[in-house]
Amino acid sequence: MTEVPKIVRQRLGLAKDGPHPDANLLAAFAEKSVTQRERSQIVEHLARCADCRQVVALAVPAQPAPGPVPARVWWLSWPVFRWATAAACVVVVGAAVLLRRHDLEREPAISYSTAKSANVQLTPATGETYSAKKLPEANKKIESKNLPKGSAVGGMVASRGDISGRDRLTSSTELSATAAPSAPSTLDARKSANLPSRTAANITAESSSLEQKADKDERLEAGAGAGAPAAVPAPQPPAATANEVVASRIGKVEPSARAGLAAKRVAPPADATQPQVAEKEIANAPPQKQKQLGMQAGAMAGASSGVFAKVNKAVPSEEELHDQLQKTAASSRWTLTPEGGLQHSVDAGRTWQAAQVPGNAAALHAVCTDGANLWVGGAGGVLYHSADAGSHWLRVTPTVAGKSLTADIVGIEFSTAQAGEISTSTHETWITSDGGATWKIQ
Amino acid sequence: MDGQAHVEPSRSLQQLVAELYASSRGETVGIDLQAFVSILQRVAAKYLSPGSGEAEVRELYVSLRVEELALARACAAGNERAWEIFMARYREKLYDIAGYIAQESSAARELADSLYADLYGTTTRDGERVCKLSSYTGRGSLEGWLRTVLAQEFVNRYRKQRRLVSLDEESEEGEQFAAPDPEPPIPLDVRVEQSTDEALAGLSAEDRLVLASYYLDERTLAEIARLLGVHESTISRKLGKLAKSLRKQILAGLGRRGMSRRQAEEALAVDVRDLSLDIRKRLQQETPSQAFPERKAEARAGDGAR
Repeated sequence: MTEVPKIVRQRLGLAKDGPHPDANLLAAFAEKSVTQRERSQIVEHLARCADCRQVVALAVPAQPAPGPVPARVWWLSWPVFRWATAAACVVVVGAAVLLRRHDLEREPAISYSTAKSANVQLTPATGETYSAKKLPEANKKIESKNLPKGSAVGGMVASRGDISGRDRLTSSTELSATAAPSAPSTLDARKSANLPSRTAANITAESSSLEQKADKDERLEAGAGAGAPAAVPAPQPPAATANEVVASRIGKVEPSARAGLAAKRVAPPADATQPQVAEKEIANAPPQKQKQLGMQAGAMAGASSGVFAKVNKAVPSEEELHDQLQKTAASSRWTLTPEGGLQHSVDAGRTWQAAQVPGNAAALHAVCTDGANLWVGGAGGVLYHSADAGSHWLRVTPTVAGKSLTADIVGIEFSTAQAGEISTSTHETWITSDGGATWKIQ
Repeated sequence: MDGQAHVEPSRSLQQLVAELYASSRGETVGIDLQAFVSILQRVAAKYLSPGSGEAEVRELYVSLRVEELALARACAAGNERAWEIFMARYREKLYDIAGYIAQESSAARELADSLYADLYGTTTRDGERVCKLSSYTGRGSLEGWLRTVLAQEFVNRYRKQRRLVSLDEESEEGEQFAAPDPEPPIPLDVRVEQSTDEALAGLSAEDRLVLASYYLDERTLAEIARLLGVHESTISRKLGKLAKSLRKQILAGLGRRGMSRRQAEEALAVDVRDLSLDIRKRLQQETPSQAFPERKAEARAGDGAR
């Protein structure tokens, strides 16, 4: 940098200063909260007064300069470069969208390709894609303890009434999209069919043979069930999930009926994700068909277990999620600003970011954390609770005998997730022992 | 304001004051509405001229940190609840700020403790307890105000200490060879001073502040940028431009005052700190320059006699 002549330094230092601005103005100047006129006066004084310059330099918090980016770099104003940058962004975004779409479409191909090789007509029921992302909810349920072990439910399970390959995949997509509005209607349709249940997943070749097999199965089960109590028809399941429906149906098949079916059946695999194929139907099928059905069963099992294994691997279990949450909470810190704002640190206090409690406009005066549990309270009795380290918040309105808390909350203390107390500006102490559901005043 | 006829504030201003009072939570720290209004009026009297209109008053009131203002004034009034809140919020911060300013733990603690005493009001004036918090006006944050007050206290202490440097420190810094009666430096051609003053007067206050901060205070570009709220590169570019333009303007000023270009450049090239040597005369008389200042003084005395 070009040096100024030394005479300049000498003359600069000889400038006489006037009356010093008070600490309020200097502080306001350091925080950029003075008027333009005041700023001009303060800058004029600072240009002459070394002591005030030193005070302001010490008073300015040690933060990076917040000023905007200075003058544009010359090559950024070059129109071609700008358009090239915009075009590159469009290309990148488009590629990402296409790749994503390809991934989504690829998932069902696992079952589609094997099904195609076996001439199975499989189409998604509702046109939804069969993606791992849709499976998490269902997958959890599939792994739930509701399902009997060794059952075929973990795999591509279909309940009675799946007389078409269409329904076969319908069941899995419905299992995967338990929140999908279409699922219940299809379930309802199947419920209303009230067909006896089966213990095995039916992997059939073509829709016509599926229909025939369905009839065959009915005859088989009827025969197997002779002399034994008839298979209890599947109870009408509650409007819950698909797999619960299936599980209930499986559970209700009579042991003798099951035994009959299993007489010549391939021993069910220990792995619950592998679907089972009634050997009777394989045995009754012509030789060529037998091989085909056997291959299909194995392929579909592999496919389904592969698909579900893939999904299982992608989706963390509840324990893993809980551990992850606890780890996050350990390095998480919360504090309040003098203005009543909430601040959060994810690196044990090294850096802080402003945090928002959605829907809250009141100043906050108290905060209490206990692992992932977080309580904040403030003006007018506002009280919020988060059980997931601030990801989601719930407004809590302490009420005792119909009287809600309206005084300012100045202190919060929770010794456990359930037991805590809050102090108010009116010197009251509100106590809860059930995580804020009920309160009493001390 | 004092000396003026009392003008009833408009309804909208009253409503604004009521809203500000509500957000200040003054009632929780023992400041009632009347006291709050009085505080606001004193702040307005301090920063606004007597003839200020309602719009300016509103703008000032809205810019104030009313919650912190109420807290500070409640502390000044001795409200215990206010002090509880103040200590909870600012106790640790005060020590952190003192540590940042003093850069040394014992000095920081002493600085913070001294300010605490002033804030609490251990000193009395005319029989009344003087609390520094009563001078906080809410223009900036209370934390920023505490930071500034601590910085002022630190600068004042440092200024006092500079006058009381020990002899040991002087000898360590090589002062033992200092001339007993240092003569004032021989001034440059007065035209150089005039041209320089003229060039500096033509600069804006911000430009002079940047120059003073960089060349006199030896602040870094980042520190100056933070002070002015701009980017570091802005300061760098500004300094480069200022250095070039100042030199140009001083040379132009010297030219207007009758110096040739070469004379002007030579005049600017002379280091003001070495003027006591009068090198040119030394060279003309072929007298070797002396190594020690006390002998320089003898040489000057000898030259003066010639």
